[in-house]
Amino acid sequence: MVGVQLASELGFGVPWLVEVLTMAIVIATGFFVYVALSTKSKHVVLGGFDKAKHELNKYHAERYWAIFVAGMLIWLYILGYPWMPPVAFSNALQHTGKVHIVKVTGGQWFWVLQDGGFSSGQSHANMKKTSTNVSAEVTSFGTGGVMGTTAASGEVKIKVGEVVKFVARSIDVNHGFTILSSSNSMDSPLMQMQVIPGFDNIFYYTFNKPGTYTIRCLEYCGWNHPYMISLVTVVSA
Amino acid sequence: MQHANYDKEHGPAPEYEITKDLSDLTLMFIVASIIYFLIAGSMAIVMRVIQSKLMLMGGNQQETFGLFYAALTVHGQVMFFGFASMVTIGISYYLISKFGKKPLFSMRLAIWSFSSLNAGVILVIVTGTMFLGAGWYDLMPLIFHPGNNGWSTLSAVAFLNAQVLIAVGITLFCINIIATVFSGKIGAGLEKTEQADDDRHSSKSDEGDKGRADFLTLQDMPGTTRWISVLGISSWLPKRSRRLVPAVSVVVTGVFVNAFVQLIGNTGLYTQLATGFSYLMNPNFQPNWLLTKDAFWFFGHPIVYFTLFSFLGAVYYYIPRYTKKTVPYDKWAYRSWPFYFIFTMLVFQHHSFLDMPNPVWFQILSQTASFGIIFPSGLTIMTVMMYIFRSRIKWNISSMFFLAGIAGWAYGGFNGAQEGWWGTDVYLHNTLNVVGHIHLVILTGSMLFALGLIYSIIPDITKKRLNRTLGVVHLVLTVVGGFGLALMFTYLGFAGFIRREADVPAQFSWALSWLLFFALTVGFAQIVFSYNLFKTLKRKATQEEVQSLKTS
Ligand code: HEM
Ligand SMILES: [Cu+2]
Repeated sequence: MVGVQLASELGFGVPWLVEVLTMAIVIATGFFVYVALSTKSKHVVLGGFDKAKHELNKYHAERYWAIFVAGMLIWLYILGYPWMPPVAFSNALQHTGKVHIVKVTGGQWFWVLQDGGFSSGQSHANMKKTSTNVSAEVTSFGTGGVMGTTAASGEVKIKVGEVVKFVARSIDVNHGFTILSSSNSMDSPLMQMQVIPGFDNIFYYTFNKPGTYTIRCLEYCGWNHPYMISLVTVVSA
Repeated sequence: MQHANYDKEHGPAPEYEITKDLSDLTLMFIVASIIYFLIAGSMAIVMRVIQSKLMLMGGNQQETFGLFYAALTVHGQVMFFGFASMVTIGISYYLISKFGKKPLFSMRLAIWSFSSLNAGVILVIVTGTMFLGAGWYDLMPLIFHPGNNGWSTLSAVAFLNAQVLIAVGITLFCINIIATVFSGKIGAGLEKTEQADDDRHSSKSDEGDKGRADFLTLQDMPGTTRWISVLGISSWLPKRSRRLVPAVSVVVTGVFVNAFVQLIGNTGLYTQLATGFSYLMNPNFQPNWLLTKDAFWFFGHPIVYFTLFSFLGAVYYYIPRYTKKTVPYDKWAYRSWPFYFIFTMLVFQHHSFLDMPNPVWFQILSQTASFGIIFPSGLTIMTVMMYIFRSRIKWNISSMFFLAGIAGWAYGGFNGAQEGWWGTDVYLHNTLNVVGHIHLVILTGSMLFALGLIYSIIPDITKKRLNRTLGVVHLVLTVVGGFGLALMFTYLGFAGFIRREADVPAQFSWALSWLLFFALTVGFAQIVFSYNLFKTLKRKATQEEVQSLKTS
């Protein structure tokens, strides 16, 4: 069974981002320093700006640079295409027998998770309609689930490898439903989505490792926002 | 001898004297922006202090957190509107008049924009004292849930009115700039220098600087031609057609694109505010909060670029100017502008990538635009670096600020590209990484450009120079503190430090003292700068300054 593969499952997660950014900064800094030092070198073009720029223009340096930048961008764009959540979702749903629905309710300042049962992967495959057709499946939202900082696993049993469909609603303001990569209260997110009041906010996710994960709000929602926090346990399949 | 024309000029800016009224107004904008910087900066210190748990107000957590979020909101809003937008508008008025070689369309409108913007910013500060803390992007519907958030409905109403005043101030500015560019004659004619440049180099002469001090002459331009010229579109035409379109200064292009994009972007803020007011008046009205949020960002993205574009236009002029040459027409300086113009308006939705109910095509459009806007940015950076490469640039305070600004903006751009990717924003959104991006792009990007420009504008409008030693202190401390702060935010965000957290867990407490140190460094640098500025404004011009800075 193939789960949802976001950027990090494909090897383009946070460590990769750190590497790329650091490399880009180092290369750019090297270039800026090189250019700054060139004004002190004996090669300084006496004609000043016009001449140096003219020399470089003669070789169409900027034209090639423009083509290079445009090419890079197109390549990166294509590279990143499969990581886009909707693409990752629909890929997973094509290959998934069933989807585990987890209903999430957010409010000032708590999370409630409830098990919404299973439905067939095929019924989700048409991604275009996800934001309208869930209302029928997800019936009873509200309290009664697991609240506050107690682990939600008592009610909601999430297994490694299964495609989980989080359907989140807010009872008041805009929240941010986020699962962090550990049980620490601050850690890199594994997934996140905004919870806009008045909408079913949907995100498919597949856990790769069993363990306890922190759930917390990542959109500022009032003074107690730092404590809008909970836990969820994922067990092995 | 060779640089006779350069040396005679001051600033260095074209030989056109702006009106006394306008130079006074520009100064007022600059002074106001510095005062607001100090206010907003002290709010940042308040946040740091609370996060470091150095202070708990009487042990009452709600009040302490309430103070944190009020400080956060005042900081973000006042930095954006009181500082960055204020200095942008003031300097843009100066630039458009100087490089368009004409007075502003309306001095009265300019004064109104100043008043309205100031009134708005002051009102934001007032609502901060009422503990309003809905974040710099007017979080809705949070702002309408007073009671248990710690602020009153009254303060929410006042805050929304402050936003209206700010929006009106910015709108008046945009209208004034567009009207200045489109009414009457405008300084143009630079395209002629392209041919002159080619001819000169083919004859391998270094002596060609004479008599080229100023190619801008007042010209009548028909409407369509003017559009093609001021948006920089003519630079993409083939050589022959390119030379038929009179080229305005690239500074005018920068300021114009800025004002035009922002005028369109402002409709987003008005839409958000109108929805907000309707909801206040009729609580049964159920707004579409998703649409409201998207509308805000239609304004919120351009406003970031608003603090940048005018200055980028100016950097294109001043950098080569500091290499002691007059600036001929360079097509590459103009070529990025049509792209900035289009993509700045399309890209806004990458701020709400994680709003899953948004239509997928819409998200993909903004992802495409995220990549699209990197293209002109790459061109700008390369063009400016090529101006510096092997030139005899004068490394003064302004040019050093510019170089640092290019670096900060480039770093922020790399980081922004990672956030502007839907697939990786999942890991970065609302962590300190985003805050790092904002500060890289604005604090160590646009604002370094602005500070650099102030050092060259002040001598032009006051005929007095700022003290150089204090200038160097200002430069070094701002750069060290600014980059330290912004890069630290960025990497802490990668490590999972979440944004807008009044309560920071022990695992990150080591970072807080560093952040406080960098913050104090930037703050102290601006105090040095204010001292330098006020001292300079108050003193009399020296004999030497009267000689060297006087208009020919
Ligand atoms: C002395 C220099 C500065 C310091 C020490 C500083 C510090 C901070 C801090 C601590 C935060 C809160 C981060 C968080 O936990 O979310 C913040 C947020 C922010 N800063 Fe700055 N900052 C500085 C300059 C600037 C400048 C020049 C701007 C540009 C206009 C700016 C714009 C913002 C914005 C928009 C936010 C987000 C506010 C929000 O989340 O509502 N800051 N800054
Ligand atoms: Cu929340």
